[in-house]
Amino acid sequence: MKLQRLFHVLVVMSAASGCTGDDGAADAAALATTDAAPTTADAAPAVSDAAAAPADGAHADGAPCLCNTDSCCDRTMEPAQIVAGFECCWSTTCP
Amino acid sequence: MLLEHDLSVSPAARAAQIWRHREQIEREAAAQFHQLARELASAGNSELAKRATRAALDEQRHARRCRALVESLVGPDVAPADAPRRLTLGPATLSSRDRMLYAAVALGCVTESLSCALLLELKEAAVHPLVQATVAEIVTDEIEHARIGWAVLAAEAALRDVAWLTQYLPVIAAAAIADDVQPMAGEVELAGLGVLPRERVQALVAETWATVISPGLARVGIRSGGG
Repeated sequence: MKLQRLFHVLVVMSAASGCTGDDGAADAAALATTDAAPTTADAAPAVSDAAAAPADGAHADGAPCLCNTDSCCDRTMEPAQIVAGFECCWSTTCP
Repeated sequence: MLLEHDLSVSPAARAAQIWRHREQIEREAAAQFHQLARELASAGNSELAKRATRAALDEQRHARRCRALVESLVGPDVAPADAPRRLTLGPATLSSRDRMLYAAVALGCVTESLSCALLLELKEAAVHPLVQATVAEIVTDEIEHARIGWAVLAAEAALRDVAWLTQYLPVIAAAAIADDVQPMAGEVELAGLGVLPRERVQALVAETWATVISPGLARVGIRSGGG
């Protein structure tokens, strides 16, 4: 699962327009803590449970997938969902 | 027998020799990113050129971190890392723009992507505090460095056919594994000191190739086989 996420972060996001490369720290942190961290649910209590699904692993396939403060949006599949407290989501669904 | 593989030497000393080698790798990567930045600028891609320049500076900082870790493990008397080899990526027969793309793929899509996977695993295995901090700092940057390669590839693929890189992938992969991956592997007892076991490295390289690199290259028509 972590390597699938690495594919998304490296390949998919790099190919998406508008990526500036400024969010490597957030990506690395997300990747490095995927297996244990509750991720976005803790970071953004204002977001509904459904929308604040963890970035990886703990949600149903196709569930909304929000990432905390990443500045780089993957809009290759769906329009980004802009939510208060978030700069963007990088994918509206997770594999 | 090399010191890092001499089991009569302490684990800290063996790990230090491997981190000393990484210091050299980081210095070489700095030179390669500087070169890539120049080539990107010449090709008119100023944004990616800036990112490559920042990556070069990151790599120099990584080398200093590796040096500090070596000294933490075994003291200040270890000789400095060997001088960086002068490495020009890509056959001389390629055009300057093709060599830029070759370098971006070799450096970013292959070498740095493999490094990301290995460092993410290493971050979980490390127990030495300075190793943990060093790995955490480096992996954060390596993700951006790999993304530079993938971004260059995506940009070029949007403009032209890049499938010609297929013929060079075996050489690119072999060089990355021989120069940057294998020297960083060691015995199981060194994992806490930032050195992954050889068997795990081998498996992780295969998994990363199959899950990240090969599918990524396939998106732009580059066939990479099994790695």
